[in-house]
Amino acid sequence: MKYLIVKMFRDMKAMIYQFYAILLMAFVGVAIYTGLEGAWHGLEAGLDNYFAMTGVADAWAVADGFSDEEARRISRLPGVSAAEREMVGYLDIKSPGVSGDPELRLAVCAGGNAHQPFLVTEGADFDGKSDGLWLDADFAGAKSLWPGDSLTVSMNGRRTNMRIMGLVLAPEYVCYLGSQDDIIPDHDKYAFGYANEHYAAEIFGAFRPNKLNIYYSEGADEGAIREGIDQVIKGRTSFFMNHGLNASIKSTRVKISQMFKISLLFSSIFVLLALLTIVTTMKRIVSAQRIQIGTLAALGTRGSVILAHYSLYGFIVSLLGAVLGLLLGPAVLSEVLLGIQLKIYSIPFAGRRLTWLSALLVVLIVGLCTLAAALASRGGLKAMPAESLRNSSAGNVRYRRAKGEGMSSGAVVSFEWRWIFRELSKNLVRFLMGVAGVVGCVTLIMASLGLQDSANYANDFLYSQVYTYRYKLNIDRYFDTGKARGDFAQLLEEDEALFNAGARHMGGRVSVMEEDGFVSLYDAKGRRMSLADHEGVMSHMLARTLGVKAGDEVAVRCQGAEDELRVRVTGISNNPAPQGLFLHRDVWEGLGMDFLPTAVLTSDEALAGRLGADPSVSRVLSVDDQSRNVKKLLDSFTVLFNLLILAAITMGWVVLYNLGLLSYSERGLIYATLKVLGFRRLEVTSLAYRENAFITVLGLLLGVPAGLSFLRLYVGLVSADNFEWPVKLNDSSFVASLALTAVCAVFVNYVIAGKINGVRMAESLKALE
Amino acid sequence: MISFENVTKRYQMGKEAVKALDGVSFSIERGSFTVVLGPSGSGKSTALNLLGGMDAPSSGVIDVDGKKINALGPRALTDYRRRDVGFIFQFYNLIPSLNVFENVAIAAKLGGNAVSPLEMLAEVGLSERRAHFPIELSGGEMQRVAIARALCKNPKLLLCDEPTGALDSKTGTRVLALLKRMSKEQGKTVVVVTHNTLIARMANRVIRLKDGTVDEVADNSRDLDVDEVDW
Repeated sequence: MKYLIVKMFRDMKAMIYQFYAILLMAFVGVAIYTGLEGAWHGLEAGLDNYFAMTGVADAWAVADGFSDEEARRISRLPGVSAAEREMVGYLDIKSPGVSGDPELRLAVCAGGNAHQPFLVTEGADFDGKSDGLWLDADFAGAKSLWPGDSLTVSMNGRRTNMRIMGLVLAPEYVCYLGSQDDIIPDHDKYAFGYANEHYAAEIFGAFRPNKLNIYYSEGADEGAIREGIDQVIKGRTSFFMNHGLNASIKSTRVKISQMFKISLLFSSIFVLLALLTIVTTMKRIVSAQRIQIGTLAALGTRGSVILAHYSLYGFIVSLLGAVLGLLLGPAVLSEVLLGIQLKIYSIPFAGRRLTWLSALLVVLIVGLCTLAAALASRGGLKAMPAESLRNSSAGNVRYRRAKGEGMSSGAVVSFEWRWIFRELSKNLVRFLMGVAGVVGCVTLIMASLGLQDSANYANDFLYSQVYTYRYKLNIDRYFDTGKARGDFAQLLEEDEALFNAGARHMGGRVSVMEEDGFVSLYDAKGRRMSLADHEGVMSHMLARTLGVKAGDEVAVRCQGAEDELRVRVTGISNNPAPQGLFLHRDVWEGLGMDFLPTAVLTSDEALAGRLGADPSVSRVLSVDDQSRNVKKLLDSFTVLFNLLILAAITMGWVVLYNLGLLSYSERGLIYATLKVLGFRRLEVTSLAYRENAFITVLGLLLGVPAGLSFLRLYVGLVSADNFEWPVKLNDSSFVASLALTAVCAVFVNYVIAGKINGVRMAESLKALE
Repeated sequence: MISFENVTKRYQMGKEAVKALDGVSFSIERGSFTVVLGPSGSGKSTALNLLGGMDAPSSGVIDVDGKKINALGPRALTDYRRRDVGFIFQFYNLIPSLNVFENVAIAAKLGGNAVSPLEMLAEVGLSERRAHFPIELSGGEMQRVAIARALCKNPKLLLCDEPTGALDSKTGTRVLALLKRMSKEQGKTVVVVTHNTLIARMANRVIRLKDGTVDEVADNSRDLDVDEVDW
């Protein structure tokens, strides 16, 4: 056995490129999966840990007030373990040294609350007595604020100085979007904070809790709890929100789920191709050693020992590659991805983390590779030793005999192509493997570029065709709407709502307008829709989730509204965002609702500037800012996509180069013979060129539909609930995905051609003896 | 007329230089049947490879009908192999994925003065087997395909490296008879490298090599036909 191990290592050295290809594919397959899993599972586990370590509520109810008695009655509902009150209000930060008049969402906790829904990262522990502010740590970081510093906050002209007691992070604000127009947190403009009940009077004038943190006990029935709350606060408006409806938590979960889907989709292609490469290469390597297998058998070596010997080839190389992937994937890829994501999501305990699936993948790759090697050598062992010694596998293939001589001067298919087709049919698995490699390469590049195109297109479409305003001004109920009438401005009411259709429900937004104006809706065919022609227009993703078609009726419960509305959907629009329902003011008022604008849209810079100074305008957003925010989010994916493109090219290169090498090693004698016959260099290499070109072109042709289908699937999976990405592949991306793959194939051709040119006739032919 | 003048071929084996041929000189008449004899390692295959333009000598001059083979560049050497030389190998070196006809036709495509592959197959008695693949043929048949492939380019020189080495004696004699006939009837210069001394009796000239040098060059007073040799 000792000498067999020596033989194995020398064989590996002699066939270093083939083993290197196996190692690399095993490495890439495992590294991509574990790298992505390390990041998404790290975020998920960190988030779960974060939730477990803090007293984050299971659900929240928002109303215009909760008395102590009401809170007590709700806490006694079946399935509820506690119901704790908070007063939430918004303040402007007007401190010297803190630029931009940021907004502070201050939650004042009732004195008797047993749960602390946040984590103190710096400064004093939270208590019910100390007057002061426990401030959002991310905002403090952005503004260089520390415990002990003071902040001046203002509400309705009333200013208060608050001493920062500590810095906090809260799961409820894991991705805190201060405005419903933002899609990523802006720690420069929005902050949250906590204070105790005693402080409420000083800031707000009185403690008037308007939010209830609800904690479930085991076996809680959420539907029953919601009904119970409605009964307790009968006659008053309330809005119920669980983790699935909390925008901050939901967007984080969605992102984790997106990363999980990307990891599964991309790595499954890598792993599949890695396995195919491994199987093909091992079969070839062991087949090439058929005579040695016969020799060993003739010497009396037991079949099981020979089997174990060749199985070890597959085992050692794949184990090395897989373990390297397991070590480097999480250490490099996960860390890079986590670094990017943690700039958006505030998860204090997130670190790379793997599941048992990673270990299973390593076992699967190593096991299959070992099995491939064992099966290949088993074929050799089946024959009697003399038979193995007599025949080399390459010459034993039977070709189908054609009628006549098979080639004449007028033959439709030239000798070169006949030869290529027969070689391909001889090595059908290898041929299919080559095509799969090209298809995989095109598909992955196309999907990576297409996803970016889709996201960018959605962003451009949304902010240039759907929203044609330049400025959006968020207004409160005291705003004089008369100032915003005219050709250059439009009033818009936006309300968060819960939509129900049968058993399905989903959160979204109701947008009410007086005219189409600065918000244009388009149907699936890209035709402009006018709200005046419809009762209700629903965005496509919401309609799909709810199973709603034009003509169906949906139930709508707006945040803060008393009654549920029933609206007939008469049109479906392809707007990427917001996902929700668009209604004309007349329809809205016909439903018994008041039109209470929450925003003014305008294209007039002067008007925006003038209205911006109005105290009832809380924020002026430019469409460029909104577009930039979306771009920021998309940029967080760029590193991932670039890494995946790089991995796809590496995979394409390894697959094609490996196949080229396998063919070259098998055909060395044929190339030498052709040279001896007088074939010129180019004539010999053109055989390899043509074969590779055939595989590449076929792969590219199949790769186009595969890539587009994969892109469709991919875009569908990663689109968030509140932002639907249409499938889009720019011409340049289409060409680039084909060109990158083709360049990869051409470069492989070039390298293999160099090897063919280097075939030494005398030595190659002598090697046969 | 072929001549080797003081031809040396050195190979570098690790740090050691090995001389496969050491100052070899001999000549071969045009249209003759010449046998190069010698034990393993004597340099006979190296000499054949140099003569066929498959390898370059380290020093010395190889002249084939006035053409200095040793001085030819890669392209000219390819042209030389393409037009002037036909090779026959011990293990036939047929292309497994081409059938009999195609294996011959592939060579015919190259020579400007090529003979029809079908004619050539008829010549070697394999017309009926033209659609078969190499794996379906016996050793003798494969060697006959290889001869047809070498001859269909209509080369001046037919170089045969142990052409009967992998064949039984009966089949081997048939192959030799064919080569001899080609030499006599078509005026081809046939050079056969072998360690089988019996074949030497069929030759016009016998060149014996030993340890990379010429041991003896002898002309037979009468070259025997295959049937006359006591195999």
